[in-house]
Amino acid sequence: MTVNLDAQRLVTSLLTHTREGIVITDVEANIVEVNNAFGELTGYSRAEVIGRNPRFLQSGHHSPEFYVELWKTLLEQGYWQGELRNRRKDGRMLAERMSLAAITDAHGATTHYLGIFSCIAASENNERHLQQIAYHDALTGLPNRLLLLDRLENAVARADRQNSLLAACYLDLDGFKPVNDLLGHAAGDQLLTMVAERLHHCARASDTVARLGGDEFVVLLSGLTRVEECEPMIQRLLSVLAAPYRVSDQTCEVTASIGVALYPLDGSDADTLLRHADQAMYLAKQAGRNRHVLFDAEHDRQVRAHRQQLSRIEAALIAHEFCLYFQPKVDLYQGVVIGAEALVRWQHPEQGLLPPSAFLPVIENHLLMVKLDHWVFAETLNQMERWQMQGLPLAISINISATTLQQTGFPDWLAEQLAEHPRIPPRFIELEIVETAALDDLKHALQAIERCIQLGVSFALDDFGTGYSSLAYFRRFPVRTLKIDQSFVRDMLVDTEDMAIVESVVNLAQAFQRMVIAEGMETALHGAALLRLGCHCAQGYGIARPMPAEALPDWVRAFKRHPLWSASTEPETLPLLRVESEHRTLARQVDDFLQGVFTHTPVVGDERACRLGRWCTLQGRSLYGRLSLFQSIELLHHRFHALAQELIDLHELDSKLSTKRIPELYAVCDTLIEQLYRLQQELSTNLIRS
Amino acid sequence: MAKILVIEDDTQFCQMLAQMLIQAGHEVETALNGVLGLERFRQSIPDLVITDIMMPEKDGIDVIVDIKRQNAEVRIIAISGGRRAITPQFNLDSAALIGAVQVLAKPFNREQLLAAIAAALE
Repeated sequence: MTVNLDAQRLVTSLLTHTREGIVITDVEANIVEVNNAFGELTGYSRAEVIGRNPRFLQSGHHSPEFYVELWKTLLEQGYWQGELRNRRKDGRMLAERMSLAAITDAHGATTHYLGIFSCIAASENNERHLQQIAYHDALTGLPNRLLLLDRLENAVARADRQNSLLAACYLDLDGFKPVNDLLGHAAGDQLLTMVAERLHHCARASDTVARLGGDEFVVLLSGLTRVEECEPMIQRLLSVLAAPYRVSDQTCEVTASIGVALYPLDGSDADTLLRHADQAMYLAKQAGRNRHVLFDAEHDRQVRAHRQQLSRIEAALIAHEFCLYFQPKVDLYQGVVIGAEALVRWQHPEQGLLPPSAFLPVIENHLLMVKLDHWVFAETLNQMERWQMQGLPLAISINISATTLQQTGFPDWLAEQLAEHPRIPPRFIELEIVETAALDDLKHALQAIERCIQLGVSFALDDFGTGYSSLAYFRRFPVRTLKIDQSFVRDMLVDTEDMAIVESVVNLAQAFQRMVIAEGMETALHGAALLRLGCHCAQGYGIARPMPAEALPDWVRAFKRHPLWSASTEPETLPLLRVESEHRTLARQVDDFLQGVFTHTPVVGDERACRLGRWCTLQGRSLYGRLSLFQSIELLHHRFHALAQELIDLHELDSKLSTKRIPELYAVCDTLIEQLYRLQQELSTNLIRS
Repeated sequence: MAKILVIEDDTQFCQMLAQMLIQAGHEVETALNGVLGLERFRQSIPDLVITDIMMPEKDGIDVIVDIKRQNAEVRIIAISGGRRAITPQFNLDSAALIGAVQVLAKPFNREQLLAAIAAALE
């Protein structure tokens, strides 16, 4: 610049007195001089700004493209004029009309840049103000959702051009609500403003920070070359935000949960990207807050696939694509069919007949499971009625999921179903539940089970041995039958441990007077082994595969016991001690129940189902049937079970009388045991056998 | 000299057994599983069947039952190694219950095999 002295004085006066802010930078854009008005308008003193690049004034309002364009004009034309949104030292926005000029030397080379700006008063331009409101968050001055989407689209386009990555970080404060609730909205707003400032300072000039509303912010990190690059930036955001805040004379701490979605990996457009970042943010919350989670495209794909499968299954229910198969259950020893299990199949139009493993896991814990269970139950009852009319009354077991059992109103629903099929005796229906079924809410499940039992149906514990087979758990369940899980039965011939498990389940069932049935009996040899262990009932491929309902009647008529089973028997000896303890225990249980100590109705059971009863039928009668001592034992045994049931029934009508008659039960029990010992004594001294 | 059908799923064991029997002067046919064994049996009814018990698909028990249904007269020797959980005896007892005239627990030697065959054919 070549000036004479007068001119220099003039310029100095201009600099000092003008109301416009003036800033002069060197050719690298570092500030070399500002005037007084600059300080008044921006809030920064001269000393604070000399030597700095004016970009520290940027508010984040303008996109990086905006500045690129600005510089392009300034460099090419030597001049730029327009409006800028900058930020004052106190954080407030400063809207200014700016004129920029390049100052050149005699040779035309730029030596300095001159900026002259004035404040645009809000009232001066209402339209501009409205625009500000429309695109910015009033509280923090940050871009709002509208502007964010605009910026995001630009950033996406830039990422495409530069072949770079863009990270959309969706940020939600943890623990903001208590601040708002305890310290008031003003304090909450103050906190949000501070958060906005911290974010703004933390972000690079090329990044965008926006507030979506409430305590939700978005930070766009652009120009990344690798996924890992965003990690340190996000860590920095997290730690900066986690530092304590001073609000309303209180120190409070909030943290942030951040979900990150990357363009182009996790979404091809701005909307999808934000949605995925939002989903990831929820996962960050669930994972314990104050952390970030990268959006997992694979997980999302799975979730969506699951949703699709659910709706496909629902459609299949409506389109009647499900059907029932039945697998017979037999008493190996007596060689009779004791019933069948109803098994659901999906007749898929494209994939053919699908087993439950193909669709049950999809609907587990879902309301669809209840719908399917209801369908299976109702359809089974219809089928049972058809068989009954064909002269084939069969006991059928039906699987009921935990979800269905735990539905309030399940017993009522069951009662309605039974009422609709008056021809079917409820005792022909067994509900199979898995051990894990009732654990969520044991008490509720027990109540439901007991109400169903009152309706006359019985229960079986399915897959026994695989779940929570604790003795305590099992004892609390008034189930009639234990079904030994097929995995143990299938491998019992080759795996010692499985054999031991089968054996102990059989013993457990006998000790607690439950029926036991083995699933997965694959060969006749398995059947022989089961009989040896005292397990009479089984189902599995070694007996029959599940079959369509139409095939069952013929199968039942044609069924013949495998020759191996009739030759395999239990050991002949009667475990007298166990028989004694079983009957004494039952007498005590009835006693406790009648006195109100025991709330469960004891399972008295059929006398033929207990150990002694089975021994009488299977061995005793054929060996000793002619002996009066044996006949009297059978009578006493019958009397014992009948009396136990009688007293339980009486309890409802006349509890006093039933309590008074308890000694009768003990007396019958004593005599029965005494006679059994006598029989055994006589047998062992070989007085009778010969 | 007898016509013997060997049903055994262990290829190596089956070959060795066949060799032993051929050396002893018998006419031998082999089948590597129960289903094939029954097919062979139907095609040419042998004097004697030697069958393993533990075989996949169709085990020796079912083979014996089916053979007996077709021809109650045919003599059957059951052989079994048993696995860990059950003794060979359980398998062999089972086989005997449904009509095997002789049983052999693996391992057995040539003399035991030939003795069992002789006893079965008696």
